[in-house]
Amino acid sequence: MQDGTRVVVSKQAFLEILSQCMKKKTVIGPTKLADGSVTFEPLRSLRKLTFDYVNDLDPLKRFFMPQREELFAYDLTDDKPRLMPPPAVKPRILFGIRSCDVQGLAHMDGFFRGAFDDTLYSARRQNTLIISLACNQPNESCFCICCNGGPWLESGFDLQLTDLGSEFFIDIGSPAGRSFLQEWAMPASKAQRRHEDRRRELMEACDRQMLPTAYLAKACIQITNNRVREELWEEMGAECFSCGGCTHVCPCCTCFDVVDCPQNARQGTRIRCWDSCQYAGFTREASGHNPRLRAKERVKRRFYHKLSYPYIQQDGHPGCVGCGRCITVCEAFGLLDISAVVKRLRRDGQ
Amino acid sequence: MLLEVNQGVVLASAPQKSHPVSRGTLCIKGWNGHQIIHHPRRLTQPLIKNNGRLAPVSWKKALAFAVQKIAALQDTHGRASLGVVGSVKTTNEAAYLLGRLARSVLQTPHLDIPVRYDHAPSLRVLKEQSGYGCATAALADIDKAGAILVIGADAKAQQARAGSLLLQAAKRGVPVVEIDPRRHEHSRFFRLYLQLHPGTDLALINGVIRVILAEGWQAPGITGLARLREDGLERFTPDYVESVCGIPHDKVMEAAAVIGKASSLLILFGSGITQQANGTANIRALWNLALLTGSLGREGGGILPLLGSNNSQGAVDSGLMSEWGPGQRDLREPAARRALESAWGAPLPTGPGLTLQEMLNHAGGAIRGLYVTGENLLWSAPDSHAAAAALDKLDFLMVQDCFLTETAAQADVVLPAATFAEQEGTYTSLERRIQRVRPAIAPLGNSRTDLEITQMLADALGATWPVQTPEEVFMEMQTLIPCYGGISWNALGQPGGLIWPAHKDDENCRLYRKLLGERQGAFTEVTAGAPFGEEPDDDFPFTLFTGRPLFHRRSGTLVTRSFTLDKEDPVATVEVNTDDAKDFKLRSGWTVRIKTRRGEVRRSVVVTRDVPRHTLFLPIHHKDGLTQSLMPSTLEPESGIPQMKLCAAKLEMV
Repeated sequence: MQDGTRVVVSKQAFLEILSQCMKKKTVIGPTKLADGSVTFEPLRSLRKLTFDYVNDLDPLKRFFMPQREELFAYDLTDDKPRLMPPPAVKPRILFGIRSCDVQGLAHMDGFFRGAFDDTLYSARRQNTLIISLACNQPNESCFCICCNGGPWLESGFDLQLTDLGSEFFIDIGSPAGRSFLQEWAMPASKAQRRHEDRRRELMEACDRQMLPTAYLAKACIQITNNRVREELWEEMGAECFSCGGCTHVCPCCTCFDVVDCPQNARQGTRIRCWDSCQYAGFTREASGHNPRLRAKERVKRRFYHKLSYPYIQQDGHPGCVGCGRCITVCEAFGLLDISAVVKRLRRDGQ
Repeated sequence: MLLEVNQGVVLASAPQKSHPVSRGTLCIKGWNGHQIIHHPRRLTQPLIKNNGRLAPVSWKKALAFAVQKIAALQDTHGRASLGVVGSVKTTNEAAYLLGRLARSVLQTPHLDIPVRYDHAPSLRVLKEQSGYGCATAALADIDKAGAILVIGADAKAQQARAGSLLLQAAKRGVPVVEIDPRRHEHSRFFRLYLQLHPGTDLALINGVIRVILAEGWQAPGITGLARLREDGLERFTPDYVESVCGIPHDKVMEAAAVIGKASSLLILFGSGITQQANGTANIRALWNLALLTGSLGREGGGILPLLGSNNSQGAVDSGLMSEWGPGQRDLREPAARRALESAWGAPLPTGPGLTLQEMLNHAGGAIRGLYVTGENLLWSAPDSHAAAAALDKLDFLMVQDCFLTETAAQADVVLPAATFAEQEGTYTSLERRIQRVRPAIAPLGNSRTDLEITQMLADALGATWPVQTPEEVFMEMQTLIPCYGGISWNALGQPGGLIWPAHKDDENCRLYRKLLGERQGAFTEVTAGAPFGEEPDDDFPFTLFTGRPLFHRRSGTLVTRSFTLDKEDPVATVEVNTDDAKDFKLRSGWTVRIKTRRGEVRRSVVVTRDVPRHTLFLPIHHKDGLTQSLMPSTLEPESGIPQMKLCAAKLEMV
């Protein structure tokens, strides 16, 4: 089996092997909470695993960039200061992750594993096998089709599953994915024409379900060429509640803050936590000057980063994967999520 | 809100999409508030003062010390020499047990909560008029309102969920009338914004009522109008309102038209109209307006006070206001007292209880000791220097909190309390919504939940209370709080819990559906209102007024200990009208000194047209001097709320 090879495995056999994996390593998968919402948690058996889910609010970047993480603990009580790193991440499998989140990881890799390699992030990436589940159940706010964020991907995953009913169609995306199938002696057979046809049918059906609500192209032109009226930014800034929710749930947003938490004068920990470009404190300089003091400037900055050509050129894609979470999470509901802003920018130019 | 926990550490907070109110959103405090849970300065051990310094001790020692001090105090000066201050942030169950402890074990009538500082008039008038002090509407009514009046509140900053629904309503074209001396960020999206002189709300509300009556826009079938007119409403002509409030005649007419012609009127208000000399009169006038427009009990109509804390309503329901027991039973009524005495198996203390500010005012006199739970009084009380002096006069101060706040640092005994993430119980929100909170982790170190602390203290004081779980306490509360009756513990665990009356059906969540018929014409007295406590004069020529910005809370305990929230708004500012700034040759960013009769602070100037001429707006802040240190503690006599919204001030160059 080569990378890019497509195979088919009986669903039952695959899940049986996944169940075996749970005994040996951490398998994180989708599970339902009491209120019916879906979250991803380490699972000990298949009993709690669900396939009945659409893209929920839970941003899976948290498994690679936790909302709060200890970078190291320090102890200065001896003559020689000691730095103690956090425990190493054990090998784990992230099962059932949707394509938009996989594409989000590709975006985050550019930041955390680009010019500077963030060792904690890298360790988590290296120790995590990504088995994604191509998304043929878009929710009402999904628009990944507009951002090359799904529903199916060409790369970024170790294995990409397509649920054909009684079988999984598997795209092998990496040597790690191939090794996993071999190591666990997955009874895989080469995908036949009928499997390919069924997969294509599902993709087309999904495309039809997903309304392309975010026409990015015009908005990208407007932003790149600075053709958006200041009054519109002003209005959007006034609407914004500065809650930071859009950045927290965004699979592409990587901003963080680092603070020291001293337990006493000589011992403590250094913490990294999510920050947001929508917070005034994020860009305030040591002098007290803040280049983006007002919400208007921060909202403008966010969408410039997401949609302007210089950033698209640098990252290779827009800073959005179309997961639609910012639509749900925005306090200014329906006004400042990316699909709403794209629409407003498009209309503003007419 | 959901918390993500790994090995006993809360890593994250996340919104809940299925929650009927938040609908998958969190405000900035919701996203970052979890940072306080593992804050390095969390109190995890009881402390007692020894030779002037607080030192860690065991719970046994701390409780024994507290009991000994309380006994000595009460033996010498009487039971009523001890005051108890409840929390508006802890659970209903902990609040209820604290009330029971104060009244039946400590036997003191002096028990109050910081609701006194923001919404005492609101709850008093609502109880007086409707029988129960609470909102008549729910947040969902914002979605259904024909028109909305927002007065004395910056909903976006102070109650993000209400602010969000309000913004959405305004964008849909629902006419929103906002009345406030300060123009807010969302004011531009509302149909009408009326920038009145601070403290003149009563004249404007009465003026609007007068126009509605004169034009015949009142709801059909309303009676009792003659009394309203006889009471002196006629004097509130649009010209009179213009002269008092500074609102042009035609704007008053326009506002009255929007409000009077609405199919249903929803009234939202904040502490901007309660912390005044006319606090109670303002709310009575709003009640009249709601009656006149037939809004009470109607879908999309009613009165919704924007209470300040997560459990303000619950703390009131649980019996922590000085004048009311559980279920808002009026403690002056013999039947109410008998019911409580029978349930608790102990006589209740006699005599009226002092309100929160009165306790501080009587410190060193009638009050010799205070037990303060979950409130940093040195930051939240008006005239902070006087409040600090009051605490100094006490023989005994015990504080129960998660952090060594400025108030706790003055204490003789400090009891370490758990945060919200470690507590189990229920909260009741501003719309009467009772919801369960479940512990994500065990209390850190040797801290304990508020419920446990009260139970341990009761035990140490010799009470023979059975050991009760939060669920059992809630069941006991149901016998004394009729509106909480018939609600199962499990039902409260659903996302969003229940709004009482305990039915999921929206129709029943709107109180007073029949009230209009029963009480129509029951208008409250129209008054001209009291004069300001402090009129500007030659020495103090400005009217200074305050407000709570997005990143601050009055007590400051949460926002100053979340590193993300704490860095959001590091500069304390004063907003100065552009024309006043020209007179003083001021520019934004310059530092000035703001003085009142109580003290002075330094502030960085923001020149703006968002505040009226001859006024200064000070956001609540703690850097370079507490904003509250400037404000008067003069009481509004009916409700006991300090008139801490506005006062006379002067501005000096530094």
